[in-house]
Amino acid sequence: MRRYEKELLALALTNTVLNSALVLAGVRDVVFYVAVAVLEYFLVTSSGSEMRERAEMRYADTILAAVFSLAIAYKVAQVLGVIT
Amino acid sequence: MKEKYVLLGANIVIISELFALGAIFFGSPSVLGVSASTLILGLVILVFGATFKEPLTEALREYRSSAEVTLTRLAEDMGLVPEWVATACLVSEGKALYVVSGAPIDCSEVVPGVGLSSSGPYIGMVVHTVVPKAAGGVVERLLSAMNHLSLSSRVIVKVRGEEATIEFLGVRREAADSLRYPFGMMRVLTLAHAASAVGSRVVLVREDLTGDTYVAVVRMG
Repeated sequence: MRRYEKELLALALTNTVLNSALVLAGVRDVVFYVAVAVLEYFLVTSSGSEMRERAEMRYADTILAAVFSLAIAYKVAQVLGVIT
Repeated sequence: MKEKYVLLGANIVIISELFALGAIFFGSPSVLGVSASTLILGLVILVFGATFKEPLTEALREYRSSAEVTLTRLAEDMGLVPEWVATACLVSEGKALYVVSGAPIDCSEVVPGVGLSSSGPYIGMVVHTVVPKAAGGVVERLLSAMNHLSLSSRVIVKVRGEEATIEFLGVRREAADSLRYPFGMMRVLTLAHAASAVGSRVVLVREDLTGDTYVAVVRMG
């Protein structure tokens, strides 16, 4: 198995484990699931990733960074009472 | 592009979207959350598959083979084949000069390319080396450098005085085939990395390829 295949597998497994953990913990906030998935992606592919060497992952980076920023902005706005 | 990942990613995206629609319809925030999370996973796999670049393995193999043959022909024309001496000189950190000459040469007299030293004509080839830092003596440094090359399944290094014996067990077929040429990939990389690892000139004293075992005896300094 090549290194990028292992990284993809790690990504899928951590995604499954984290989703299961969040469901079991009774988390009902969609924003939380999205934020955790984005963080998980950046963590798995952070250093020395072959996925980054083999593919143009900057497209995914840009999209996911934007999604994460929106999720955080939404949460902050919720806490500040701007959105209910 | 790698179709299987594009297909996998697209399927994950579509299925998670369907689940998300169902979750919205039935009002289940947990399922919606899992769907959104899985959608991100699908998106990542889709981007990976769509922008995947195949490595240049085949092209590099062809190029390496052509370069070896051409350099050997050049060495033949210069009268360096069949009797030749292989030396690796340390140029700077991370850079060595692999030299094929008719007689032992002084590293201060050689430059990259084709030249004439007091020992006769030579061909010098600059090799960029990556030698991982290793604690310990010459044996550990040589071992670390040779293992980094991944030319064989196992490497044994023995040092006796100024001579080091580097034994490669389970040499990869292509690496072993390259030993037919004076500028064979395996010999060039072994000597250049040995020079970088020990920090001095390295001269190939003798070598032997038996089956998939390659033994190179080098003199350091």
